[in-house]
This record gives sequence, C-alpha cells and structure tokens, in this order.
Amino acid sequence: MGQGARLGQALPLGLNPIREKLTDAVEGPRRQSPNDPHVVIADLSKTYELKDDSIESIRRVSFEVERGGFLSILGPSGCGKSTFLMILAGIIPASSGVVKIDSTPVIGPRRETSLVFQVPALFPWRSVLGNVLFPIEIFKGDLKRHHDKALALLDMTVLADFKDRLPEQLSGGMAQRVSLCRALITDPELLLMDEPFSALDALTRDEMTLELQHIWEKFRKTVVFVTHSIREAVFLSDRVIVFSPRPAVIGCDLRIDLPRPRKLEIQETAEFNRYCAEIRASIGVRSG
Amino acid sequence: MKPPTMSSHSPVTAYRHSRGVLIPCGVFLAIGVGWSLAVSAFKVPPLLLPGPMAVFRTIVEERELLFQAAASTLSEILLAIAIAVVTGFATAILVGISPLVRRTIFPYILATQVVPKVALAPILIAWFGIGMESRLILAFLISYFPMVINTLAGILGTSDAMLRYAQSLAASEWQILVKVRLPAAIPAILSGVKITAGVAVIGIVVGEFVATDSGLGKVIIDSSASMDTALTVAATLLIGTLGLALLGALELAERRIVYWQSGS
Repeated sequence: MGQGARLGQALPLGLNPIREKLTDAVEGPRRQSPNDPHVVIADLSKTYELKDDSIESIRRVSFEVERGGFLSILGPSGCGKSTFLMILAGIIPASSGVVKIDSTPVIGPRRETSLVFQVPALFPWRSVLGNVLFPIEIFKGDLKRHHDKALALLDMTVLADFKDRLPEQLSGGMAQRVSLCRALITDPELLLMDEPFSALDALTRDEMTLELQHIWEKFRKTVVFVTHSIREAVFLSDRVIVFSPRPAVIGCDLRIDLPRPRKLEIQETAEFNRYCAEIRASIGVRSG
Repeated sequence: MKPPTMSSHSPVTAYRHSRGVLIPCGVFLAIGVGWSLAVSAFKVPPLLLPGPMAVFRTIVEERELLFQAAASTLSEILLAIAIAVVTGFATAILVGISPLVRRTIFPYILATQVVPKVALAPILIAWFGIGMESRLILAFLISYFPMVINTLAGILGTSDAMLRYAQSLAASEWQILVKVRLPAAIPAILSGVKITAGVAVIGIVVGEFVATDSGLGKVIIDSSASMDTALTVAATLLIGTLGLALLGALELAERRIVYWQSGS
C-alpha cells in the first residue's frame, strides 16, 4: 500500500545541498527516476457541458511538476484553478489531454495523493484524532500502528492537547491544521492544496503559511498549491504558475529564487516585491 | 476542569435550574386551576366536562382498568414504532443506494401518502379482524412514511464537502454510506423517529377506536357510550401523558446520541 509509517523521514539529507545548486526549472531533488518529473500535465483541457451551453474552463494547459518542489497555481476567482487541481486529484475527469503522476495516467483518486480543501469539512462526530485517522480506516490500514504517527503529526501542528476534542470546538486555523494532519497521515507523495488558507483571518493565515513551509521543509513532498493570493504564492513557492481568466491558459511561469527558510519579514524585501509585481503585471492588475 | 462544578452552585444557574422546573409546574397548576374555575363559573354539567378533581378521583378509582388499558396501548405503540423505524430505515437505505429502487418503487411509496390512511381502517378490520394486527397495520401505515422521508433526507443531504473529501480517498460507496452518510444523517434519522413515534400513538389509538378489543381507545369509546365523561377525559389525559413521556424519552436519548451537536 506504500503508506509505511515513515514520519519524520524526509528525503536523504545529502540531497538538499545538491538541490540548492540546481536552478534549472525542470531539475530538482531526486529520488527515483532522476529525469522524470513527478507530475506531467499534457495538453489538458476541461469543458463543462451544460444543457444548451458549454463552459470552457481550461484550455490546453501543459507543464511539468518537479519532485519535491513547491508549486503554486495562481489566478483570478473562477479561472478553473480549482477544477485543475481536482483533475490532478482524479476527482474530475479531464475533457482532453492527460495527467501523469510518476508516468502513470491519472484515472481516479490515488492513495499517494492527498488533497486539502478550502473548507476542512471535518466529520463533526469524530474527535480530532478520529478525523486524522479516517483515511487509514478507509485504506483499511493498521490503526494501531498509525495511532502514534497521528499523535506525532498533531504534536507537530501543536494540536496534541486537542486530540480528543470535537471539530466544533476548534478555531478555523486549528480545523485546517487537522485537515493537514489527515492529509499527511497517509504519507502521500503529492500534496494538493485548494486555497487552504483563504477562509482564515490574516494573522492565522501568516501563522499557517509559516507552518506549511516548515512541514514542507521537513517532509519534502511535492506540493501543488492553489491560491489567489500573490504574496502567499511567492512566499511559499519555488515556482508560481499564473492562470489567465477562463478559459485558463498559462499566463506566466515564474521561478522564485528566495533563500529558505523564509521569514515573514522577507515580504518587505525589494526582491520579494519584484516577484509580486511581475506576477501582478502578468495578470494585468495595475497597482495604481 | 473546575468551572462546571462551580457554576452549578452559583446562584444564577441555581435560579435557571429552578426556573426550568418551576415554570412548567406553574403552567400545569394554572391549567388545572383554570379548568376548575371555568367548570364551576360556567356551571358546565359534569356530563359534558367534569372538573379536574372529579377526573382525578376517577383515575384513582378506575386505576386497574386504566393501567391495563394503558399498558396494552403503550406496548402496541412501541411495537408499531419499532416496526416503522426498522422498515422505514431499511427502505430509505435501499432507495438511497439504488437508483433502480428510487425510480421503480419509491413513486408508489410516495403515492400511498396521498391516501388518508385512517380511511383504510374499516377495510383493515375486514381483512385482519378486530385485534392487534389491524391496529398495528394502521399505525404502521401512518408512521412508516415519516421515517423513510427523514432518513432519506439525512443520507442524501450529506454535505458536498464531506463527500468530496471521502471521494478524494477513493472510498467505496459502502464506506461512504457507513462512515460518512449514515453518521451525518443521525440527527435527521432521530427526528424521523420522533415524528414516527408521535404518529404511531395516533395510529394505535385510532385503531383502538375501530378495532375495540383493548387499550385506552376502547376505554374512551366504552366510557363515552355510557356517558362516563370523567373516565373519557381520564383516558384521554393518559394518552397525552404516554405520548409526552415517549417524546421526552426520545429527546433525552437524542441528546446523548448526537453528542456532537451542542445546540440547546
């Protein structure tokens, strides 16, 4: 099942220095097949057929996602970026084109992919711990073995004291942390995040952004992060792809070369703001 | 955690607690006094409406008859509820998981709702005789449908966000039903049980009016035939009390079962 409990066991450390030397867009930290990108999106289109109308949501999008990288997809509301993520997750079928993960075409949800939604939608009748262990139950995994792992994840997200609480007793930020834990419990190769922080207040959002960066540095999973916040995207990502308004085509594909780990103060630097300005220009939003 | 213990001793909560008991008791007394005053002030003949004391006296005098009748009525009500809840639940699951059943059988279940089932009572007697079977079937016919509809609304009303999440884990339909839809539907199912219980009381009592061989309904029919109005009123009050006790018990059970909803 490939979901061995390897909490805390990220990539072999020796690879990280190599990674920093590489700046080429396609190359990245290597694990298995050195030259294969983790995700390949080829000529992907999505059109919703309605009764007497059709809405073209995504038009012939192609790109590759490097293994262990943090990629953000940015775009105006309703541009199809969420739809795109659902196609990557195998929940929505593409109209044409193909998504390959580890060279295998995506035809449905995969256990090696975890999805974090904008609304956590925790199960209100389950405790925090019960919610985190839910995927293991669905995968018919060993609950006892994953119990400690769940506790470790909750500990990492400062939720250990809340493990027996019910979701209704949690704040929005805490609920989203729980949903991050339940996404990580299956030890996914690919983490897809659909505007996970957009329902949170600004301060919580900053906090969660730092926490996500920390988690990503620790596990080095490939992350595809959908957002409509330019600053969030620049802060978190190695690479930002901007989708145009519907039908979505790639408007800009930008590599973010800021040193890590990034602190919130980096947002005040000229370099950071140059990236933001470049992205804003590609979307066509004037600052004045 | 200290606060709960402290607050239960605080004067404010003590006041609130006592209010929760005092007000209903006060209303109960006021109704009794109002009834008593109305009967004496308007000189209502006891044949039409006896005063509360007369009714109370009758309850004490006829306690054996009333107790037996109430026991019979209550057991039939409970049996009717059990049958309606089990079959209604099963129907809802079938309709919920099978589009075929939803298309072929469900419309007929809906159609039966248009027929006033009390009107079927004479036919039921002709078919099943004067006895428990007729009453149970009548009560079942009335109380089955609310159970089906509420359960169905519950399992089909699961939030899209939860379903989508389960879907992203490639959960099977069965897993989604058992681990997501059903737990999410528990509040709706329990309100179905409450409605079912309420109408099962009506079904059994109306059944006892027609198939008069036992129960409080028979006491009502017999006593009104012999113009023993006090006994009629006593039996009626007992039916009301039974119904209230039943709903109260279900309400308590609901609060324990649906522990994740703190409302009220």
